[in-house]
Amino acid sequence: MGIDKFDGKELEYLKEILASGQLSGQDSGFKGKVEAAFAEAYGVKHAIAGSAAMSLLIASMYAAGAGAGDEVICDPLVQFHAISAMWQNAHPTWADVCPDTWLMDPESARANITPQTKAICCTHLWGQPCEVDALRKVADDAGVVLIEDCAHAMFLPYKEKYVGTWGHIGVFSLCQGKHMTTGDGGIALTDDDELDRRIRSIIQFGESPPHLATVFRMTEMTAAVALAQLEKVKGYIEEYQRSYVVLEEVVSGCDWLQSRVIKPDCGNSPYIFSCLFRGDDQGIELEDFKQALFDTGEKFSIGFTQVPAYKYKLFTQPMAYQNKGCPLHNCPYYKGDYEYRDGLCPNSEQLLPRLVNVNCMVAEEDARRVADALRQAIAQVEGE
Amino acid sequence: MDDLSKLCQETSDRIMDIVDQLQPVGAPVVQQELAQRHGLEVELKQLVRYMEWLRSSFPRKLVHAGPDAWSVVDLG
Repeated sequence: MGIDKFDGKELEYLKEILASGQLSGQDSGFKGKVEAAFAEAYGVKHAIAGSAAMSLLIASMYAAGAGAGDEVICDPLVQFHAISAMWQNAHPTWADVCPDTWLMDPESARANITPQTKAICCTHLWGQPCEVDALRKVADDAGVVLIEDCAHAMFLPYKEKYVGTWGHIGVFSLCQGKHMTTGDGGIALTDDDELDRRIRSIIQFGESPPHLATVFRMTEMTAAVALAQLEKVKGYIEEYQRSYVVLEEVVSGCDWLQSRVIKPDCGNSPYIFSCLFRGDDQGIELEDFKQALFDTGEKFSIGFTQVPAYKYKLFTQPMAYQNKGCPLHNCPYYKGDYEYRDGLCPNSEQLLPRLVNVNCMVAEEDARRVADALRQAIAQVEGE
Repeated sequence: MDDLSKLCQETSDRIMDIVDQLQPVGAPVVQQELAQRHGLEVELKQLVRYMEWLRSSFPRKLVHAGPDAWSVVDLG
């Protein structure tokens, strides 16, 4: 949960919609307005409003040409891209992350390019930017589409412009608990007319679509809240940046918690604050620290997904498709030989169980309380 | 009321078993099931905090399945 407030123009806009009687599918209404506002704010040609970031990722996979027998290079710390690829019957492969930033390593992405690859999907994890210029070069060299997952990365600068505008497509989430929320919702950005057309072609239809389309469009009510929130979100992010500094001060003062590196030219739109447990070297047990964090009463977590996505049964077993195998298991269209084996992404495997996370989308005063709790937990295990 | 202020393997297993059987399931249902199956009377707020912490568990862990909806994944 963030510090979002819905005390601006949200109600005024919603009343206007209800009075109009047109609640959805209005390019001339609030959906069109919010698309234009996002396109202008990001300086891109097209913004597409959808029902969720997931639905726009699924549409983006289609737009990228990913289908049966194709591969999509995904981030192993999250599972959203891989699931989106599978909705298009494509086969997820995995690029490892860098050990200091926990963001996709462009060289690992390059090493995973095959003749089957149709897209690379990177995550600007928890509000910090990938080396998205290097990833774009990998994608362009291979002739594949770079999809930026910007669900944690609203108005996040990388070098001279925002993430979401470096790749061919950028997808933002407006679901509950994101930098700005409409409950559920998403925005896709692109400068490419054809990608825009292809995404739009499968997120809405009437009685008979020319493609395998569905209804993934944004409603007028959602668009109205999004338009009102867009005016405020940069203010929220400024508050979260102050909160991040408060939490980072604690970690930088502890020699067995490793800070996450933010490289030069990289901004920070804090979402989850994360650091790495390195207490083993100093005789501090992870289980003891876990209990100490729990005792504080604050909402820390350790390990996030615990293991990379490719170790989840959703991917390792044929359950995702009614136990029928395709596209991941014995698929006749798949000509690759990719295996979901242990050690596939060693950095991800080492990092994940040791990540210490806490929500950073809080007011600065709340961050101070959480920081005190973290100090307390550190002192408790150091004193044992 | 029973106390969930300390992590306990037996309680963790009971919660994960309930979620495993009923998933996706909300915390209020888990609260009722803990009372019916094990005679544990717990505060909902404390239970939610405990369940949040079980997202850090391994090899079985709780995962969010939406706002106040929970599932289990087994990574073993």
